[in-house]
Amino acid sequence: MIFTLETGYFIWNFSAWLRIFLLSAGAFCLLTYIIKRKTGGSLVNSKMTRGCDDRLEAGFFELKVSSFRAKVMQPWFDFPFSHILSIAVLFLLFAVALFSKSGVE
Amino acid sequence: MPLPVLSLLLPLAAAFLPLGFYIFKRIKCWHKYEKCVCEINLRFLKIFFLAVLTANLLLTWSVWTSMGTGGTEMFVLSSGGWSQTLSPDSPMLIKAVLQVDVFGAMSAFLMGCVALIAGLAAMADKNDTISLSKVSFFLTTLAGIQGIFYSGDLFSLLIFILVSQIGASGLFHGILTTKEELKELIWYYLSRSTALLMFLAGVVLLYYNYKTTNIAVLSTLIKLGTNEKIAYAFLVVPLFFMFVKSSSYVTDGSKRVFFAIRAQAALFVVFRIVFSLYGPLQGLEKIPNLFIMLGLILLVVSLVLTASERDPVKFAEAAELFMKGFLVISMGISISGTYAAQAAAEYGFGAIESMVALWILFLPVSATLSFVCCTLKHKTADGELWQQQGLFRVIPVSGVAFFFAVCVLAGLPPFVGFPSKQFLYRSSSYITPLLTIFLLIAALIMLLMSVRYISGVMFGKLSVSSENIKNHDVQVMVPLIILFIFLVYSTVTPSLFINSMVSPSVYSLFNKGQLVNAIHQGGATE
Repeated sequence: MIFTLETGYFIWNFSAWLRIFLLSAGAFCLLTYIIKRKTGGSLVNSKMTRGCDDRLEAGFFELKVSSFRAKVMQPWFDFPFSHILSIAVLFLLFAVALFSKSGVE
Repeated sequence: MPLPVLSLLLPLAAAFLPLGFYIFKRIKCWHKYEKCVCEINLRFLKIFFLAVLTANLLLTWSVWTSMGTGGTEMFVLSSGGWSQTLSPDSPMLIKAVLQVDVFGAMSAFLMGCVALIAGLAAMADKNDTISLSKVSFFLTTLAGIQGIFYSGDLFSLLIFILVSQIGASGLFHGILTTKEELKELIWYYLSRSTALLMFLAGVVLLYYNYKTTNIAVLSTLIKLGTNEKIAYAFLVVPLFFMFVKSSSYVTDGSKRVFFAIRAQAALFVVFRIVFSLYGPLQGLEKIPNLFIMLGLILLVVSLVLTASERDPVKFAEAAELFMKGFLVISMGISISGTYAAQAAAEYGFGAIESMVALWILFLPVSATLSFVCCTLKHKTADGELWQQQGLFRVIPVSGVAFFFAVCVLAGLPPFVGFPSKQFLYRSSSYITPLLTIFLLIAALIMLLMSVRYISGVMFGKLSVSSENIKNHDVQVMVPLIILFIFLVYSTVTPSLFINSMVSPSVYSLFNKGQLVNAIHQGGATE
């Protein structure tokens, strides 16, 4: 059957995937329709977006990650010798993995 | 002359032609104390560049199709000319110039395709028009990488890595503008020189012990002692570094693609050393865990870099790092799965198939991301294109390609990235289920962040000023459509992708004894 492809490792059933996607799309459309009917045409209630800009604001977790990136990671990336340092660290890690006796039965 | 030799010599000779002309002009100007203006007919240069890339593609295609499934061929240059037959007298004295197997031939063809696509984009670029030096550096990189894919000898690998480094350095040097960048460039050259010297040290160590640098012969002779362990670190570390840190901040899409090609070639050398040369030797048991740990670090770093990133080029770099993380983890699991027959049957081969599939997809996906993200960096009246909203109406082809690339990258079914990720999830559960959960969560987070980024740029209300923006898709239309066709075709025919590209490559990567058997049979190949 053309909707089933066998790769030798698993069977790729296109019709099953199509059904899943169509079902998901149907559920998504239904949900959107119900919400829009309840809120009068808008997906998000206007009370919930009071004072918000059109653009998405960064969340708490995102701000923390950005701050970590800017304060901790970026200074290391900006060092001109970061490439040499990376090679040295990698070499050290490989040396430990190759010569360390601990953990070997 | 054998096809692989011709395929290797073509870009090399073609690279020297414009470079020689450029140097000749410079010397002539210097001799006359004039300011050098190297003018050349651009149309002629473009036709020449296109002809070389097309011929290279046809040659690599011919080499790949002539390989069959899993075969290996050796080409030796002797006093009697090129020969495909090796002397069975002494395998220790083999000086095979080229050794082509399915994995190398397929990689060279894939690289040839992507190089042609990058060349088309470079020729269409109106902001940074093509020049003599640019063409010669592109072709030098191409020749070096082609050599890497066709080499079966550590010393010839070193030579070709050096050639590709000259090409890549030339491409990198072109964007130098300030004193800080000069300082950065010096450190760049220093790090690359260190990497090459380390590789040379590894090759010399092995040659000193075994009097050969041929990978096939070495693999049958090697006994893991202190020297071999040091050589392992010297050979793997520089190439692993070149794979992870393949490029700097470059906003030229075609240059970024060539850097991605180079990253892929660096990992190819790592595969050759880890799987074909050393294999599962006693004493290397901790290496899989190290690769898994490094892969996890790359994944975490990529997720941190992607979070709230607005610059498209940095976003593309972080997404590439994400793919690299998955690749390194799959490599770690693959090595772990080769130590015992039971492990190989349970998860080893699945992990290796995943690794090769991820490796093949790395180049088309990163090329797509590079083209799209560099298009978003185009200047507009209000800054840059990515600072606008609702760009889907202005650059629809880039929008669709971006979404498709992200879905492949995250392994969303039914896109082509899914089979490779599915193999990996299944294999990683044998290491620890926690790893599988982490990989699934990482892929999901990446997908969500990427889709949010795409929707932020592509959808929304088009501002009044951006309504006058011209269609920037035009410059990358043909490259993106070709890449899109490849990704769509392999998505709808996953069996063809796995059976014709992945499985033969896995077979040739592991068939260590085949070459030596061929030598003893007087050059007979399977």
